[in-house]
Amino acid sequence: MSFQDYSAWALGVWSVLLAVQSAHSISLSLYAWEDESKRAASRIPEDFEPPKNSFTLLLPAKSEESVIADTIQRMVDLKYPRHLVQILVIIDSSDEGTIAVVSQKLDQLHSAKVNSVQLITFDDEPVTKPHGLNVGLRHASGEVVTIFDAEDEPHPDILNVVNTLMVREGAPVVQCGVQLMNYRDHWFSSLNVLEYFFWFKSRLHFHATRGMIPLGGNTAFMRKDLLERIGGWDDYCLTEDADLGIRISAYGATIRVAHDDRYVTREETPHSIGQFIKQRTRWDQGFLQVLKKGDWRRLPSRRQRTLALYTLAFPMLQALFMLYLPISIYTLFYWEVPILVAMLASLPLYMMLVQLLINIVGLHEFTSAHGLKPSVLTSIKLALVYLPYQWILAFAALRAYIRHLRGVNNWEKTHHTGAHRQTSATG
Amino acid sequence: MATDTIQGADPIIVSPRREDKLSSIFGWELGLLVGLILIGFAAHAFNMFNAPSFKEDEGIYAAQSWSMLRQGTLSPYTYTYDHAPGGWILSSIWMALTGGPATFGGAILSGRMLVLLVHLASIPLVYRIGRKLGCEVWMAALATLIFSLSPLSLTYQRLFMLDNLMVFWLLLSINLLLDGWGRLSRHVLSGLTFGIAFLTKETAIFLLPAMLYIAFGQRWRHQGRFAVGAWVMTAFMTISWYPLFAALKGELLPAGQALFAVVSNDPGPHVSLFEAVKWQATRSGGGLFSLDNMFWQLVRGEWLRLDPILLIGGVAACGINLMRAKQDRRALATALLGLLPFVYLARGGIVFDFYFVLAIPLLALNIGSALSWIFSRSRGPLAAAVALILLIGSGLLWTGSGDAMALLAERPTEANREAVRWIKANIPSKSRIVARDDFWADLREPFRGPAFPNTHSHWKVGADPDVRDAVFHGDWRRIDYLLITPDMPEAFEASGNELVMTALENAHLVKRWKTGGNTVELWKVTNDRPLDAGILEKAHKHISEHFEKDGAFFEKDGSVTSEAQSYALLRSVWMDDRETFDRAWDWTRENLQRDDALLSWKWQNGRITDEASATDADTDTALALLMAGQQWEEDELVDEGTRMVSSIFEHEVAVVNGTPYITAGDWWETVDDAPINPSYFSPYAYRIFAEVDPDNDWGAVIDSGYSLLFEVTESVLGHDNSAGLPPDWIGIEPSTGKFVPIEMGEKDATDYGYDAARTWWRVAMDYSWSEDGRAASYLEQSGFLADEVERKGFVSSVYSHDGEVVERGPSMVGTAGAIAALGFHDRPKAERLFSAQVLGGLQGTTSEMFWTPRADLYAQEWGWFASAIYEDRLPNLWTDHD
Repeated sequence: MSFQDYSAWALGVWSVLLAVQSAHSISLSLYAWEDESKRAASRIPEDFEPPKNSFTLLLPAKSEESVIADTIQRMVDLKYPRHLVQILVIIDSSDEGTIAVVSQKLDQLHSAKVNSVQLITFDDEPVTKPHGLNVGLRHASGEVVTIFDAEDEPHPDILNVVNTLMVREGAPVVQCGVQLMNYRDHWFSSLNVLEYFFWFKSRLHFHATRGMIPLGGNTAFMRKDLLERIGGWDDYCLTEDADLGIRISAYGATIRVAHDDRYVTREETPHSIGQFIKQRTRWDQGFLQVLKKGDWRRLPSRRQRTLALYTLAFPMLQALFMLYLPISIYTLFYWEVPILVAMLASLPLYMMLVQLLINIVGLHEFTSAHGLKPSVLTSIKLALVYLPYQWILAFAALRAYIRHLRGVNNWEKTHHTGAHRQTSATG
Repeated sequence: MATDTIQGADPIIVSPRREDKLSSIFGWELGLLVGLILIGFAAHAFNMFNAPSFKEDEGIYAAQSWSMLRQGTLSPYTYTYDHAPGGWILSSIWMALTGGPATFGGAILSGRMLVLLVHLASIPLVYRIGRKLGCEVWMAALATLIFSLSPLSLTYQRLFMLDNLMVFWLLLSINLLLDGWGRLSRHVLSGLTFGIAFLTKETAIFLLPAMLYIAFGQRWRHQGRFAVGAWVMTAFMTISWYPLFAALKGELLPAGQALFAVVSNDPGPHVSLFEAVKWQATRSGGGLFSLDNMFWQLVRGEWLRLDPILLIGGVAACGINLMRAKQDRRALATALLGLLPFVYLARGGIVFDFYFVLAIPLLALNIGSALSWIFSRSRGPLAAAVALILLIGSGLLWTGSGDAMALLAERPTEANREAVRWIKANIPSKSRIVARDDFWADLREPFRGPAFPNTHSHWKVGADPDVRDAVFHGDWRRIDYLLITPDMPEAFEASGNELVMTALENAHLVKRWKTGGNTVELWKVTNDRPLDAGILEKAHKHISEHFEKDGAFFEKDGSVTSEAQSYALLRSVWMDDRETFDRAWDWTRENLQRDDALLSWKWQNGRITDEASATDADTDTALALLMAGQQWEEDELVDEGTRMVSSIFEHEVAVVNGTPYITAGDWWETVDDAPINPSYFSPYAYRIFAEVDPDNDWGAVIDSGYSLLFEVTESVLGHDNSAGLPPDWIGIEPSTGKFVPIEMGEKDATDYGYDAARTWWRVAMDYSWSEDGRAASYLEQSGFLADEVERKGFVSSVYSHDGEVVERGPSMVGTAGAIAALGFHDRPKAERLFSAQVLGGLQGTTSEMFWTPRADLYAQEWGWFASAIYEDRLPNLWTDHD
């Protein structure tokens, strides 16, 4: 065989591997729709136990002047006995604007006889979200600790849900659903929304069955003693949530994943493509950090370790996949390769088409779950931006990889404007 | 049931889980299934390699599997999109896994083995589908039994046909779709297997409406909007590989309409998927509304005869299920599955008998389903009884017919195997054979002998420019052999296969194999191409191996004759086999040669039993010695030959009235009339003798011999007339010089028999070496033999002088004589005779070949001499030595 033959067949094998990867990813995306038992396992109780656990809500904020007051109010308004809820707003001491807004809000709450909210500032290094959380943890008095981001809109009954699950099932950790809502705001919104949809509604449940869960950034509820035992968050990790999830999994504690479209915590997509890329770069880079830290190697079973490796390396796989697409197309039409190789090279294209179709169907599943009505135009737009979106993801992944190699580990903060609140108000 | 979803319908076809408890399948139902599989195995495996006879289509798929396996291409010829390739890709994988296409005794048999396994795998599928569609246990078992045991199934489901593989994938697809657990992945797999069914045979698409109906009805709440889409998308994408393949090859659209102009750089004519589909779709079978179209013909002539119960009962059951479709949507699904095959079969297009395979399991399921409903109130014993009566009834109906016996007892495919075995043993492997498709793969594969890489399908020789023009140059003479069945000339005519038809008109039957109502014929085309079959080498080797001991060539009675030794010596010179020659000559010199250099003619048990000489043996030996001496530059051999030559003239030539005649031996003086055997007359040898023995007048011996030959052949010799054949023996009255019949034992010595036939051979040799005009005239007188070949295709072994047949059967020496004579003036008849008798008469294997009778040395020798003169491989080594 000549070099040309070898490279042709290497291309064929590579195509098959990519297609298999893609098919696997698809099967994880559709895991929740596989059969009844899958949904039953993540079911949320229809009736609630009487309040028993006390909660500490950590609310880390940075430059969140515009939304923080609303969010605090929302936390205060959660349906749960107020004496069992402690709300800690954590702000680094240099962020004077936000501190001012929060202080003002606190005054307002005090005058309304609400004393469960406290402001905690810190001025020690590093100025990161996980460090803030660790500071908050030291002040926490609740038996269960959870995090909400400044722009979050949790369901009013979320504490009852978690209390019930913890009482009935004895689960030390509960991860509830998070959902981006503003699917029509930007060209990339619909696909971004669907990523959350498939992740929290489907894929996370697969992770639950395997006992290897990278937790989400918020709406994750953990027993405080467990958190303290494993040492809290990693101050320097860009994705301290995923890191914590893997460490909890490695520790052997069960994570209960609960999802119901009605009880999701609502969030918003980044408000510009630049912000989106920054956010995604941070996640991808964080995954690389976690991968490098190697806590996942302590997971007890080989299947868990494989899944952890796969999950953490996934952004890179996806990047490779998208970079490969032009090669695949070129091969199909221009490169004189054996027909079989050309057929194999078409497999990843097929898979991409399948993913696109799944996203379109998924969009309808999402909107109908939240009582929204997508126009036909939305589906068409989604199809049109599908590829650009994938390339943006690939770009972010590569950017993360380069930053990781160069050792640039600073936190690129995502701005929030409360766009999802407008969506839900009009939707 | 989950409540957190948004969509409405419950699954309508299969009720959730209850009827599909996995646990139940491990209980007694598992035992039932094993029983059903065993019954199916027994019914389908018995005699499956021997019957039914091979269909040509089986050969095509075997060839294409072979091509996948050995060449990595979809077809050994240009792939014409005759069918999607899924079926033979599967069978080639099967062949690869089982150690090649020869493992089960031939490529088609390998395919049939796969089909058997696929049938067995289909049995649990039919059962489970039946259960899921609402059949009671025993009715599902009944449907499964019908599926296995219907004569239609036994007849068609043994064949290595795409339909059989397709039906398996289809059943698998249905079973997956009817998943009692509502698993989304099963929808995906069902779509995939439906796609594979399509890629195996496109007719699966006719079931699409039923599949869609089930897929739609099988939506579960938890599947959300993914249910039907998953099935449709997977099926569609799998199917799309076929046009994608064509597009990548630039063969999606006909030439000049390429979709991807970049791909098809060559704008020349080429095959296309579009054209192939158009052609398939427009092949007429008599039209939709004609009661005489192919469908109705098959219903009346074939399917109803084979299994009226399945056909009539099945259609009636579909009707019943359709009637109750409103109450039970499972019944509608069942009826749809049962009726859709008829949309395909009765569409008015072309239909073949085995297309019915698609309908068999689906009609069986309808019967099971309808009976379940009918007996739903009085189930149990009555149902079982009716089912039993149905089965036994159909069994009796069928076993009474000849079809059952043909299937279970006869061995029609045996003829194919014998033919392949014989061809591999006896024909040169580079021969260009145009064959029925069912021989193709076995001839191309090195198995039971060498590979025959120049084997071609008659269809391709007729229609594929790459074969007709590129391989055969449109010239029938480039075809060496035709391997066909007697019905094929009709097919050649129907397909306008001029090339093969002309070749057949100019061909001679070599051999015919007949078993179990199947006939296979091998024809040799008269094409003037050297045969080059290696017959001479193989026969030469065989004779030494089976008749020789230390240089002596034994007859079956244990005697050694000077004649046998002389033949061995001549053969060895011509084969350039010094070792055998030396052994034979050493033995002959020591044991037979007399003081006068001539040979005693008979030796047995360690001693000479008849001292007399035989002139033919002496002559042949002398010639062999002279040629050997020249060929191998051994003067001593030339001297020994010369000594014999002089002695022959001295002792074996009778001078009557001043004319020297060659007699039968040195004993001529002991009888009244000098005995002459015309077949001893060897003018070609005498011309050489004259050179080494100038003192004797060998020229006069040639002249007298020719005069004698002409005269005894023409004269009636005491009969009413002469057929123009030389007599075995004749005498010369010493006083008058007249030729008179003589007594030689009980036989009439004027007969043309085992002796006289050699006359032609020797005269032909003379013509070949000297081109003597007398030789030519004499050979031209062999019209009687030409007529015999014309009349019977062979020449009898013994005729009386007036041409009456004395011994009808052919002999090898008689055939050799006739080939020598006819080769001179009627070459086609000589070829015909050679093909049928010498080539076709060969027996044995690659390692050993012989002519019958096996123990007859004389027959072996003359088989060799016949082949040698036919192939023109008897040069004059005295003058043309190396």
